[in-house]
Amino acid sequence: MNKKKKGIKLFCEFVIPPMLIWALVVIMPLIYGIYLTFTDWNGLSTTYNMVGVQNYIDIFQDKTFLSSLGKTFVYVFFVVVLSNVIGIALAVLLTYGIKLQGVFRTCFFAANMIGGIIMGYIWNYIFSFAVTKVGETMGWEALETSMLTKPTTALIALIIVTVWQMSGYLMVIYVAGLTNISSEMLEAAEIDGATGTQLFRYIKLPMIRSSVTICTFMAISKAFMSFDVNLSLTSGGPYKSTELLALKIYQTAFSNFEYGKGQAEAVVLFIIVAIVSLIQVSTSKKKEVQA
Amino acid sequence: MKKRWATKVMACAAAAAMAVSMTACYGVASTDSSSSSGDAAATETSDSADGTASEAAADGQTVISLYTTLPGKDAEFEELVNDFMAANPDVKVNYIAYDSSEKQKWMTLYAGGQAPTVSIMDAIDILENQESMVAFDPATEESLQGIDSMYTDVFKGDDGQIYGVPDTVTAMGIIYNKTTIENATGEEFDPSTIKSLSDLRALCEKIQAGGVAPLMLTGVDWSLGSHYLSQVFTGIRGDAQAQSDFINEIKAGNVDLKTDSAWNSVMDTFDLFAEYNYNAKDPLVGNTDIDGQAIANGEVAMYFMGDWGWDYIKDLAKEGDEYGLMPVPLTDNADDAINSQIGAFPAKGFCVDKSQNNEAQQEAGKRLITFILKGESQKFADLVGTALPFEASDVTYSNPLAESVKQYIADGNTYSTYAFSALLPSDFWSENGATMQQYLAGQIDRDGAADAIQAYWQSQN
Repeated sequence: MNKKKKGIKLFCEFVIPPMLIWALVVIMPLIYGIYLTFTDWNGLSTTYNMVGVQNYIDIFQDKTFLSSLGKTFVYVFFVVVLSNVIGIALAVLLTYGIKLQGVFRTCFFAANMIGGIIMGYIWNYIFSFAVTKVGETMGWEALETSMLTKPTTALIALIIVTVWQMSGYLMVIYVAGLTNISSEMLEAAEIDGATGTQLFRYIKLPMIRSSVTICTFMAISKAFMSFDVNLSLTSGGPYKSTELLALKIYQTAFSNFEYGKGQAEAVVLFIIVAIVSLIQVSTSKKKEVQA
Repeated sequence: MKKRWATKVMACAAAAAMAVSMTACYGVASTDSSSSSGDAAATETSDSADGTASEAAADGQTVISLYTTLPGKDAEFEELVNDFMAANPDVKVNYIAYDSSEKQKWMTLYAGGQAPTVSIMDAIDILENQESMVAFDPATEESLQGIDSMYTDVFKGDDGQIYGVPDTVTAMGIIYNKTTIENATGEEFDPSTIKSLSDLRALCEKIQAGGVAPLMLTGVDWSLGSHYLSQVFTGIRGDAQAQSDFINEIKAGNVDLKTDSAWNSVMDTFDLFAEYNYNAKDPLVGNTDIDGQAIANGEVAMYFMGDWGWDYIKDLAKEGDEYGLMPVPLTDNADDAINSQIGAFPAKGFCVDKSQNNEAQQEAGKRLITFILKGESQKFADLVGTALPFEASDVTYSNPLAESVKQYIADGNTYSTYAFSALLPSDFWSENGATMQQYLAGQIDRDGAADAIQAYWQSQN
């Protein structure tokens, strides 16, 4: 009885406060946010009207929203695939025991330490002025104009910058996964005559499946929510061709004073991210192996 | 034992704090809900106002706040605020630092029950939220004295009341480097001789023959969509009423922009800009700093921008180079007055919140506006770098472009930009800026641009 009482007391002392905080900062804003999607609130006004599901109807009839959604899927696909492939490649290279590998790890990870807004501005200058100067000097026509002024190349530039930033971060997680693989197992495989490729394909990759699950999940959620780099690198341009969903939501809610509609777009994004992430995590989990 | 008690106390305190916060949150939500039924937000107003008032009563001061959307001017504003507090010891002003998210920050402050007493915002933002704003009486409001109704009209709400005090008068046009033009053409340059599109074309040809790029556009959406395109809807249509009528007609679908003479005429000038554009090779590389450097270095002679463009030039301008701002010739008829006039408009406006600030705070807020505009005119003019909205003979401007604007205003050579300030919706620049960028990049033709802009207006119904 005493033990049970103690358990309840401990629960009250340690579980309820964080639960309340969580409810306060996550659940309540979520519920209130969903409620606002049924209003025409402009974000400032003291009054608003209930409009039912009109905001949801509007966004699915809005060609720019659907186009933004399409571009976001393309962006997410390439960012997730490339950042993970590069992250794994870097991790494999930097766990071979080459000289200065600690320095290299720090250098690759450093990209992640720069804030998205600052990084966007830096790369904006690189694409618009540094690369074009090189193109002009060398007479390479393809580089003489900025990548950011054409829709396709601007999206590629956005993917390059995000991958550049994210792969260093994912590399650290993969490095942790790779260093946890038992050296006996690797040595045994080597004695059995496994080549470097076979070691990676049949030993290392299966053993870091849990890292792949985590990294893919993080890349998916980060890429879907990508905002700061989008804002500072392309601002959605040229002519809105790189306006990803998070930036579109921001524009709708804060630039256009359509908070209810912007919130409805955010709810749609939330549902998409939740569905994609759940599918990815459950699929990846099934493939994980234990040593 | 003591430790266990301490843990219990901490846990209880945390739980109580959470509960109180939740109640507070509920309070905000329920206020919003009640207001959604259409009631005036009296409860919310008086509650929050009382809260702030009691804070003020504690030390005998009225506490107000100032929020601006002018980047990089925090130190100067804080100095003005300190001067105001020294002159008005009964008022304490909390200066809210500039935030690049501008409107988002403003909305956050409102949503958080911390609505700034005084804000400096765009006219359209103030008008879209006029229910939260104090109306100014032009007959008695000190800060409005001496300001032309052309500038106060843009802050006029649906009810005919004025909800903002213009902070400065600014103008868009062609920035010219007189020295560069004269060096390139070998002739003395007088901007008043450019009275038509043909005149501008002839000048461009001469400048180009002199080995200098004649014109420059910064291919960003705000410059093309908000500034250049707005000329289709402002003075070329006539006065404020004519502009309003035209916009109503286009919204109603009664206008075919493709055959509209003003549209075609303004776009003819745009084509000239595109033809002689210094950035023609890659027209959408939009960087005002790099473009400012180009005109300062004499690589280009003229630049479509506005008097605020001096900020991009001043640090690199060569000693002795003369700069000025001249009108954009919008038609090819030298007799059209519009070609000799500039579109002057209030850059932003001061507004005072009444939804979360009590009467004492509103009154103190008005005093602060008067102090900044009228009491410290020179300091404020130095801060904004553009012309003040009233005649102030003792105020001098370090910005030569502001001097140009002042001269055009003094000569009465301005046209109404009412539609630009008060009728173009908040998303006009981003939506139509994209269309103008497509046109500039050759992705769509003029008719395609007209269709897109017309469709935008019709979606505003």
